[in-house]
Amino acid sequence: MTYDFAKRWMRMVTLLVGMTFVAFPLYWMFMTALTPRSELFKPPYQLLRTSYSLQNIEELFSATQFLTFMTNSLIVAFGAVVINVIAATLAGYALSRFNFRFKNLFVASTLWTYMFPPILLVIPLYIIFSAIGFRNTYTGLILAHVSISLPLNIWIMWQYFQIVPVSLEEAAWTSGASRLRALWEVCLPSALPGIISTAIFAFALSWNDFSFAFILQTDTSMYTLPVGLATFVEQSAIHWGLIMASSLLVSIPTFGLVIFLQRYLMQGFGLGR
Amino acid sequence: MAIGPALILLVATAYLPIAFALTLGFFHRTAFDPRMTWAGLANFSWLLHQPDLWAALWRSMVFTIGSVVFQIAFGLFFGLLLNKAILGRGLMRSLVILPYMLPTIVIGLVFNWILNPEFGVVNQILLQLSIVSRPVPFFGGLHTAMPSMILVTGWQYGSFAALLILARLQSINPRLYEAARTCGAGTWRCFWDVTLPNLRSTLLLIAFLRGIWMFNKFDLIWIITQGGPLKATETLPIYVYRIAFEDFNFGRASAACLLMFAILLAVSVVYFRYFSPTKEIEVGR
Amino acid sequence: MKKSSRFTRRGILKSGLAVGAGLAAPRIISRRAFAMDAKKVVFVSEESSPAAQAIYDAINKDFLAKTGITVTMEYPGFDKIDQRVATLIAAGTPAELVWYGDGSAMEVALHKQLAPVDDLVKELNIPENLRLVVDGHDRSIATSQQFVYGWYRSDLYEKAGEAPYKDWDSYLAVAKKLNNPPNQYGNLVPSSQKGASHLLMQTMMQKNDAHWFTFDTAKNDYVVSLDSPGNIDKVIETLDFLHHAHDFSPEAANYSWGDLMSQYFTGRVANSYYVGARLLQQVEKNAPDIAPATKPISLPANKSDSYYISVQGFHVGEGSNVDGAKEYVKFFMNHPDYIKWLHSVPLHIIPAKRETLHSKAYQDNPEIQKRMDVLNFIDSIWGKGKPSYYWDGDKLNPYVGLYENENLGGWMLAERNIAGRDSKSIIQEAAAKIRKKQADYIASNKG
Repeated sequence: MTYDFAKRWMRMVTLLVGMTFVAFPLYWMFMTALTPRSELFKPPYQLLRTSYSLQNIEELFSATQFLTFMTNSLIVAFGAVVINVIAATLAGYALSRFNFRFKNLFVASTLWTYMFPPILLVIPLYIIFSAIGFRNTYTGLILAHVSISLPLNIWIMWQYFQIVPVSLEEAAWTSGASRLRALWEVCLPSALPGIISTAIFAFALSWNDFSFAFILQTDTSMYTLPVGLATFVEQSAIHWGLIMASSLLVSIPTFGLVIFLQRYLMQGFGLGR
Repeated sequence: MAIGPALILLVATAYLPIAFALTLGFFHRTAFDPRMTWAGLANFSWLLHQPDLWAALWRSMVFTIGSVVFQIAFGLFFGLLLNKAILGRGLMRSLVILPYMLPTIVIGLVFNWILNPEFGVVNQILLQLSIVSRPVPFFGGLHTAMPSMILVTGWQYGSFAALLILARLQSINPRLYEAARTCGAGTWRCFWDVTLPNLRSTLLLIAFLRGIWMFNKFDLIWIITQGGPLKATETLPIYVYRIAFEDFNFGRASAACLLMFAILLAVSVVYFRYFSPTKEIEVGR
Repeated sequence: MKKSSRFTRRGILKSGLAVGAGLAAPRIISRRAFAMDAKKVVFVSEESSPAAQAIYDAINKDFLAKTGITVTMEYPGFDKIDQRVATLIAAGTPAELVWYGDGSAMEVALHKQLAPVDDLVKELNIPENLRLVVDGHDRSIATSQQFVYGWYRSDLYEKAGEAPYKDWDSYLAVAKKLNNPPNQYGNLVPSSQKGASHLLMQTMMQKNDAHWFTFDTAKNDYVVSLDSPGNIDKVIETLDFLHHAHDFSPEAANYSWGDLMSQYFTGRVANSYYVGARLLQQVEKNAPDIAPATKPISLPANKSDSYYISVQGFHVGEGSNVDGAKEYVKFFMNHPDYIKWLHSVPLHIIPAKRETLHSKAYQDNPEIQKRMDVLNFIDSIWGKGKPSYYWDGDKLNPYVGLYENENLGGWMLAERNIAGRDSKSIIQEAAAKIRKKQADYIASNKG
């Protein structure tokens, strides 16, 4: 009894130490966001403070197009997630269940696209997208983001479908369900952690992307968050307060989304854990 | 078929641009002149004679292996600990995932801010606790820049590993653990004989995918150190960027990209052959 | 399981097809694929402060009303504008107008991508020393300039009973006296391969009559003279001076312009420098308590008294809507809001012409009135500086990009102050680098 308790206690302590490493930069980011501009450069700083100032956040909304950037980022990320989940799930399923002629080549080629350094992709992508009229549009940017995240997600979904035994599906087929129905009702719940992971990765890759958004979106009103944040650097003078405030405002909904999603990661085998 | 949508998307958005970018390596092409003259292997031979290229390659190796190891350790640490039922597990999981969701520019600037030797809070704490006598120039020191860079990418991408490991751990049949316990296995043996083999394919996948991503990593390093100080953090992507946008020679930059691509291709061939990631784990049949 | 051999064969076939498609692509998408629209002007501006943006919007509205031409603005940011310009040209859609530094524009001009603007330069009476002549034609319409000069904390000087420095020795002496790390630093010597360090080295070389190139009349071209006898001693002297000064500075091994300013905001620095007065403007915003004591001063001179000038102006893209662009420039320079535009970063964007500096319209601005000392200072050092491409001779030096693009001056400082190498070997290596690049450049231009 005591041994068990000591083990749990040790686990908690180790975890907390690790969490400090993860959480401290976030904590400091938030503290800085709530620091008035005039105090920003006056070290030493107090680690725990009760005073706060909303000056930076006010400036963020009044003086910048922060909301526009945020909206654009959300639209593009949402599009990228939807396309990624659908295409990756289908592809991952096919890879794990079927054996077709070009299978190895397809798998390898998805990997090749993932391997290619994105920095040099920007110019060809710019030329091609300009030619087909996708420059400075939501569609164009969504497609560009899909191109970097899809290969990765196909691999992940393939991995997760491998875990789902075919016997479960076979049971569904003998009960008269079509292949698609079996996929929907049997495989998907088991592979749900994989799908959630796919969604998170697609979201993160799209949300964080700077290079493609910078090259493809030329109008300030179409900028996504990372590109918009870069404009807070006014010819090498960094508006620290604005950057920190925007990071605070970006993190809160993201944090909420993540808390909501991570619950679904727990559903593993469907054995009622 | 089912592959259909994925295939079409990839061809349009990835294969074509890549093909175009790859062929640039065989031409003389500067940024400002859209004319392209055939160069054959001239760009490649120029590249291979640059000591900077080899130095950048070495640094890329160090950075890639260092960050992948760190991220896997990070992932194992949090994956294993957050797998068991603990108070506040949901909250902690979310906190661990959060760094991955933040824009790179924010992370770059925040760490620049925190680790600044003159007015960064970390140095303030270190000095107050008398751990060091002078501020540590994390990104400015010749020997501390690379480790600091690995630390920051580890912080940002460690959650990728944690996420995959956590999801995989959730899928391990608990009966396997029960069976091991009844045979008298302790915690360590359980880990070694039950957890690790099931994690094997996931860990390999993480190492492979993260390895590629870190090898190609550009934005974070550029934002924080731009390859400095004195090229201490100049990895291959930074080197390529300088050729493309400081020397304005796209032909040579493409050739360097081709080299990077070839290296990763070689690694992937080895990965497929020796580590058989497609070998599936027998699951409760 | 079918494995490697099939994969490789098919893979090669597929890549072959892809390569073929890739080779064909550039020919399919020809350079002028996008029809030049006479009713559109794309204007890429380096200056993106909110005040400047508001003025651009106002002027563009008037321009649209007068000529029916729509002006689209792009603000890629200070450190990304070169990349943006290169991308636009590479994609066959050059921007009509780019407003940024002539140093960067020179690169583009040498690649024959800037349209000649001789007519506008004559019409608008641009001062002689701010012209950029490449291949026999003007390529830039200068609107403004910045100089590299020093800023110091008069209150810290008074507290220590010191007078501002006059030459190299007194500079080092006063920096030493005011140096009390970590609470106070005598000065700031950023030592990294970045713009802030490079311009410091460049300016101090101009204060010591040290050159990068010399015009060789026999070859009728510029040759690298960084390590030639007679010049190398002056460069060594400069590098050693800055090394000595670095003793009274934080290590600053990766400082950019932003870090240089941030460090000054902490209030712990007695002497700094900047390429203009943006430092003062940012101090007013971030550390208003030390703003009144922040005063301008010329960096100390030794064998010569020059300084680095950074010229900004309009540049017209070759192959774009050149007529629309030129009309816009004329409209802009004659618009009453031109003065307001100069005021968007007061005292930092210095007008190209001295008369404008003295004009009542320009001086009628509360921030300028508050700091007339800065305006008088600028007036007192007017005309003493030179852009880097005219420092080594009267003829334009087309090779300055070879060392400026990679901030070689900053590299030298980093090698001296961070890696601790001796000056002579650093300078010789730098000279060798530039020579190699120059040979490379000349060879590839012949082809």
